[in-house]
Amino acid sequence: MRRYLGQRLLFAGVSLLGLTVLVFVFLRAVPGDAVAQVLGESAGSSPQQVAELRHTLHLDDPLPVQYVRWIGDLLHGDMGRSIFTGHTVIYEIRERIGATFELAILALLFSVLFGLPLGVVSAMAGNAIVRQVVRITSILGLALPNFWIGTMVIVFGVRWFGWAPPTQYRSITDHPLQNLEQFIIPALVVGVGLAASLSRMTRSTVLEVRREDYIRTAFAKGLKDKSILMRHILRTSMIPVVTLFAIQVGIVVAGAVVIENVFSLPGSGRLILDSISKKDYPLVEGVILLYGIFIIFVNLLTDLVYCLLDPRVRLA
Amino acid sequence: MAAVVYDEITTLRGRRRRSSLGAWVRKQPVTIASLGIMIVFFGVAVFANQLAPYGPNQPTSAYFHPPSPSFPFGTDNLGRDILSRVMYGARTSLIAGVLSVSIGTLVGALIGMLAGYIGGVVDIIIQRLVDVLMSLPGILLALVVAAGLGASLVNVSFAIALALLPVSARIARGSTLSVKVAPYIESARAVGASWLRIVFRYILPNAAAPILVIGSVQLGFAILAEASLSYLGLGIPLGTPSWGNMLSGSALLYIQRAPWVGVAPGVALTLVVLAANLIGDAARDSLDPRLRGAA
Repeated sequence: MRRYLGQRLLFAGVSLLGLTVLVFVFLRAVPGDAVAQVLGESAGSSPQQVAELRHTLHLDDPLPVQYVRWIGDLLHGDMGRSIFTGHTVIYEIRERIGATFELAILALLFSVLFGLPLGVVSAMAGNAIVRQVVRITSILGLALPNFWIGTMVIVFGVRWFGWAPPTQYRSITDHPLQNLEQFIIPALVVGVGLAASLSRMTRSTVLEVRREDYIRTAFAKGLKDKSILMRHILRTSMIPVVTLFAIQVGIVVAGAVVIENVFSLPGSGRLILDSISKKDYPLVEGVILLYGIFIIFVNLLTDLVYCLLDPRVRLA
Repeated sequence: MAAVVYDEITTLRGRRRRSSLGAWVRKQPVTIASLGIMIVFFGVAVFANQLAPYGPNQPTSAYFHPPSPSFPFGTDNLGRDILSRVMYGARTSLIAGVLSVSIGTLVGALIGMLAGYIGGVVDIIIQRLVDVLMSLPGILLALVVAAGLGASLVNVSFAIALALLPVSARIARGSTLSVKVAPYIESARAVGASWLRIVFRYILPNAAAPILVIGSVQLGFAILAEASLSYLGLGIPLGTPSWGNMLSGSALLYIQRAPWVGVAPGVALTLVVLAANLIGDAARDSLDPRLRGAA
């Protein structure tokens, strides 16, 4: 167990290091940098000013030097500063992460609320037509483009219900009700795909467990259907479902990036896109790295939980 | 319910024995319909030049024209016919989808097989590289790569391929490991077959079925990813119609006034992705039940 844990931690560290290289290389591969845009705001900049600013931002160093400096700073807990606002990257992220977090939690909540029961029904329903309908509904949920549903909700919400997403951000601490009103629809939109994927995966694990010999034995013993479902099938099916959580977190993060842009929510996903268009490297790199750390951590955690729940994994 | 379980077990066994094409078609009406949808969209994509009433960027006389017999899906703020743009958009979407899935699964399968066959340090290095690609959700990884490479059809496809690659690499590695120790591989080695020949002649056929299945499962994701990136302005440049970028940029400013601009591309996108997912799902269930549930 300790050896397994050590190996996992090492791998997680290697992944993280690899991610920093990947993000760094691809983002700085774009020709041009933020300097022109920064100076563009204060008109009348000479080539000398450009060179000066580039020098202060260390953008004139060779890429490997920039990379090593960035990693060195990261190891000291310094993620750098935004080129545009001058705030630290950590400050910028802290301002924005709350909205993303709230969106993610609500979406995951919807996903569990709808996805789990749907998955169980599509695996267990006696009626073949019901099973097919649920199967196609959940595959449809996976096929619906979230940016399109979001746009359609905004367009037709106004036309049919006179509902428009609030334009001004309300924080959850100051205006809890308006905040919820603002987040519930985007969270539902993200939740569609999530619930669909959760129901698909629940379906397949339930189907697998249902074919086990001990389930047949339970039926043969004459146990009540309900007790077989709750005590034998669902309980065993939930073990693999735990690992699905890691996949869900990935989907929700990706979904948030898109949906925050559709609904103009001031979260970290919008921060990424705004910073990409401004070539504000430290900020993009910071947010992406944070996502990466989070996902690697969740993966590590699910591996460990799985390993605790299922001793066979440990021995393998 | 007990009866249902047994019915299913017996039909499952029955289905395995009876493998004629006709029986399969009768059992899979949904899959057949999905194949039909895919064929229609591929046809539209190939023959967009002939089928579309207008060019993709050709202004007609009418601006913001609602759907009508002459413009079935309406026109946009520049007077372009939405139907024609959706047709040319099919071309963009399907090229991006097929290109990225081909690159992703081919390269993934290749490095997965090498990792599994050579083993040792090579295996460890390849696996860690795959881990790196998996440390971001697919769309986000593609977003970062596409942002770096710049917006174009080829770059976006490459970015998506990079996000797809880890899945087929893992599966190819797994099936390679499972056949590597088989006696026929050993005998091939004994008669002096080169490792290249062993990989391509003996291991590849064994890994091919699950990789094809994964490819068909990934097609829907790839098409959706291209549309999402284009929607965010990091995918296909606005000059080329794509179902994603038809909802972004200036279209978004006028969408309250002309909602039909956004309806048709979204419906087309949903239909194609739904059909692709249903086909992938059926392929997964029939070709390799073990893969069920793998994302």
